[in-house]
Amino acid sequence: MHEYMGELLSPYIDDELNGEERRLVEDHIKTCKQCQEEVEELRFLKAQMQSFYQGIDIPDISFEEAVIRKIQTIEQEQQEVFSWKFWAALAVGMCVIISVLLTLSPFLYACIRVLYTLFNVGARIAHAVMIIALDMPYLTGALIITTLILIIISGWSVSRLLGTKTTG
Amino acid sequence: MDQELFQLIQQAKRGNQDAFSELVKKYKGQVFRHAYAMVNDRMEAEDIAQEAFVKAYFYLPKLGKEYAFVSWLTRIVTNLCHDSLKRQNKKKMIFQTENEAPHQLSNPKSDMEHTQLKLTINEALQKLSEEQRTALILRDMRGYSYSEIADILNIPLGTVKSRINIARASLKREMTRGDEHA
Repeated sequence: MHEYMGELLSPYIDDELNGEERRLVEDHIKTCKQCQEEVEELRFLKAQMQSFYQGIDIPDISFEEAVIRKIQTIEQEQQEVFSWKFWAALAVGMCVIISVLLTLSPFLYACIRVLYTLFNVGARIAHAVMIIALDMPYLTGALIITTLILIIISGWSVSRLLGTKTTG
Repeated sequence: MDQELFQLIQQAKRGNQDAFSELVKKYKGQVFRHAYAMVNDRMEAEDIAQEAFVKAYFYLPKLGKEYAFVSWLTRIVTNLCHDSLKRQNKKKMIFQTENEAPHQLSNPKSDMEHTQLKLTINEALQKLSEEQRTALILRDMRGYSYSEIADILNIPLGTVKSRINIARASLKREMTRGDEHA
């Protein structure tokens, strides 16, 4: 076999050469008996490979059944693992929450006490204001009169402003 | 790809085990023969083929294009064969005993011509490197084009061409040597 043909003959029998390379090989093997024989040998080898492949006995129907059985076993295991993981995660989560609450309980208790005290102080101040207001008989009247005066002044100011805009 | 096959793949993708069983029935021949040609052991080949289908079932939802199913399955088998051969080589290195060698080189002088042909080419195939054997099986047995092989093995086209070329030269040499002994 000619060396420069060496890398072309194998792809030639596979029909993997481009047009130019193919023509080159075809022209060459017309005149070169050695390369012609090489091509024949390669084709024979290829045919033997195919014959060997076709001669291998294929497993029977138990093959499909075994595959499906394996798939079902894995799926079952995955489900078990999932449910096991779910319950484990839930238990861990609960433990974490409880321990956080227990650790922070003095702080939380102090916060609640502060809030409770503030609320009590606020309620007592409101109560005291109410009592003072009720003890002053003229306070309500004075407040109503002051409010009326303020409303009148506001109304007058608004009408004055509007009047200035229209004339201007 | 025909419509029926496309639908089978889609159904299997959704977890339909009957549809997947049909796919196994359709492709078990290709997958098993490929594995057998690679590892030269029926039991191991059957294990590899089953594992390939099991893997395919669980990863099928991730397969984007249905038409690529067969080459994708071939890639899975190729990888599993590689893992199996690696394991075998490790075992051989650790426990190199006399019992293992004759298993692969048994009885070349059979009465049946077909069996003799099978053994001869099989023996020669096993002498090739794993890379060369894989490329040659994909080309001559599975019928993939060079570019498809490059895609399956994730190697350049030139490498495929050279692996097949060298594999054939080695195979021819090994088989001629076999003839000389016979």
